[in-house]
Amino acid sequence: MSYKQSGRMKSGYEANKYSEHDDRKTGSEGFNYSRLGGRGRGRSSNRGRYMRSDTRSQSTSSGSFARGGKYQPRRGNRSSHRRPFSRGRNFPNRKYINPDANTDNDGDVDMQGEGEGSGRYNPYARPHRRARFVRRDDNPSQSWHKIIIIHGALYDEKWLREEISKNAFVEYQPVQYHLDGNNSAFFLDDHSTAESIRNCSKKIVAPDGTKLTIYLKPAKDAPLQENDITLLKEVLSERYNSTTKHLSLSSLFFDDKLKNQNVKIKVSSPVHMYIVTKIIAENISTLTSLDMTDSGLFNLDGVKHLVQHTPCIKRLNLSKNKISRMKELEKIQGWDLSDLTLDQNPLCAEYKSKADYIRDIRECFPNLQILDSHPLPAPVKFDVDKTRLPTSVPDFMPTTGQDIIKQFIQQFFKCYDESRSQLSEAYHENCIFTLSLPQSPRGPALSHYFSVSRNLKRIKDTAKKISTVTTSRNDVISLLVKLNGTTHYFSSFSVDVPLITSTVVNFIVRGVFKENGSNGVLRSFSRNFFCQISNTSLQIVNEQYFLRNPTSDELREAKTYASKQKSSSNVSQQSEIHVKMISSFAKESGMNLSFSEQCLKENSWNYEEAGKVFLMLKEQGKIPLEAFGK
Amino acid sequence: MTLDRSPPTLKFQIEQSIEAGTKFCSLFYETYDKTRHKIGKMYHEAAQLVWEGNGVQGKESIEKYLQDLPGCFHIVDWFDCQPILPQFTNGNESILVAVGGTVKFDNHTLKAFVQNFTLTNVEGVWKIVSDALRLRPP
Repeated sequence: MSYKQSGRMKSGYEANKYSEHDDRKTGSEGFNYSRLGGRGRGRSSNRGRYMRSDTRSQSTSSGSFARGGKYQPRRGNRSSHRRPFSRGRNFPNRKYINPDANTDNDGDVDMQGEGEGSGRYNPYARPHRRARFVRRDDNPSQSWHKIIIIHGALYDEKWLREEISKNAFVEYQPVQYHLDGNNSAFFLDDHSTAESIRNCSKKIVAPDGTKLTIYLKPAKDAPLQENDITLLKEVLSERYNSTTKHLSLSSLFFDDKLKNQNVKIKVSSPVHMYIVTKIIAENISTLTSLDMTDSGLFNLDGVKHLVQHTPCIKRLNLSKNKISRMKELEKIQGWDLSDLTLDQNPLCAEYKSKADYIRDIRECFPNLQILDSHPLPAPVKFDVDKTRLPTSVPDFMPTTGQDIIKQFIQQFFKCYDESRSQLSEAYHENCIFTLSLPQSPRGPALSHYFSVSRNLKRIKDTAKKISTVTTSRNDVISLLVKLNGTTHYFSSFSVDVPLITSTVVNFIVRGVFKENGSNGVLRSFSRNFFCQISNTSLQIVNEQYFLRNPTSDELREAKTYASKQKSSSNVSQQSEIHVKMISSFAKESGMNLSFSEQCLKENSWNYEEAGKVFLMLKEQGKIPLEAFGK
Repeated sequence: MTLDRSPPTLKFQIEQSIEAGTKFCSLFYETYDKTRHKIGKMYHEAAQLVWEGNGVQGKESIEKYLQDLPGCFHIVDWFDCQPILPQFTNGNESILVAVGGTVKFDNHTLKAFVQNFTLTNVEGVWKIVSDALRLRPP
């Protein structure tokens, strides 16, 4: 491909212009072709003709694609179309890749507010869009760069930062880290750092086992400076009415005070909205009324992140924006609005019937009373109130026998992690064990467990239904030993005890563990134990082990579990060492334990130092007699 | 894998548990989704329900508790059952059933569930002794 490229480069601006032009045209053709797949094949001869004539005109005009002006079979036709694409795809050094094309358009927002609103994955349209960047960005090293981490909003900011600098071998200072829909992004002014971070794409493994995708894009605007933000703060405080708790962000871009200082704030840009969100969250999180009239909003990806900081908002004005999809309003469903103004948005024009419009809005905001400054008719309500689900409670434990169960769980999982082969005491010799997996697990493969798994919904063969049950202590242990090594996060555990009698107890333990090994994939489990109670100890009679991949919430929480676990085990290890030191120091010195401890502590647990000090003090006779009394 | 060494009665018990569990799974969720007013009959007089950590004791209370939940629709993805050996249950025939899948409650988003039952055979009829349910985002 490269030799062709260099050859074509010579064809100069003229050819370049044509090829770009053609890219665009054929791009859309190619798109149709591929999307329609089998259905579209030969569907309309008309289209085929169009494509042919298109190719011909292309080959004659640009010259460099000449393949003979004759009819070309479709296959050849496509490949000749492709070549200009591939050039387009390889625009200067692959520096910038447009993330829009890969994110379902749910994340990225056009900073200029000139978004095209095309919501579809459209691979063949990419060259043309990228070509735009080529023209715009002639010297990338002089401007700001924007790093975008796809689905980065799921992960902890600090963790992301550490992982990136570990993988890219660079120290960097992210400027204005912000969330943009589901993605997160920040700015960098150093081109080489930005490049090396971009090169980490698909190299960082998230706790859920997915590989992070990182994009690099030229930043259209430089990030705001510190004094710009101070000015913005002033402007916002002027626009806030503390008695009505009303904040107006309307036409912020045209604000005189900002304009005079040449500060351009676009609420429609996620990074600016993120700064505004931060200011609001820190200063006026109790506000109840928000005006965002005329803010050039295409979507609510930026506004979405304000919802959690301002739970009291009841009135919202979004009129004169460019919101065109109901989906956007779902992003701010967390606000329990009673008054919403939406007029002069493309969305409103979509509805022919006012009733439909009201119904759809009410779906998002059931307690809405005023819409576009008109009071709404009372909603149709019946007195059945069967919509609420009971709130979740983390554990269900009986009043008696709690300690035995807790102790058993603690010991069982500790042993399971550390020396699984010694679990035999925990199982009854006639115990029954099964392991199940979800039918279609998402995330990292569970194939390691598949050979022993039992899902009666899937297994049709009766012999296999029976053979997947493990029915003796030895077999259970040898099966468990074969499974991946694990580290269970005890703070993630929750326990339900639905059944307890004087002889048996049934409890279900749920939680998260990390598989040992380089990848350290996280899994969630739910283990149903049926135990016999004998002499205040438990022995497992039945176990049903269910294993799955964790949800995004569980992954987020797992970060904190991991750090907690580390510190607690450090403490316990530390204290074990200290206990040993104290007892041997007591033996050698002849002092009692509490004085030994004091002596060691005062010498910051340095055994030799403490010994020297002890001997010195003893010689001087400064040690009280009671130190030697037991 | 261990079948040859185990006594034939165990194989029979496992087969029994599979039959009872399979029938129970389809019947329970069908009743739950379509005719919930009848679901109380499937519980034992002294049954224990643990619904997302909320404990409910006794057939009548469980019946009322379940009636008050919004309408729903279950899709079972997997299930598993085991016999509990009679030596541990005073000779009663009992099984454990674990079920997982997704459930859609009216006016709520789709949720994944895992539900663990203990069933016991009372004079030829299987009754739920304990029922523990947990929901999570799918």
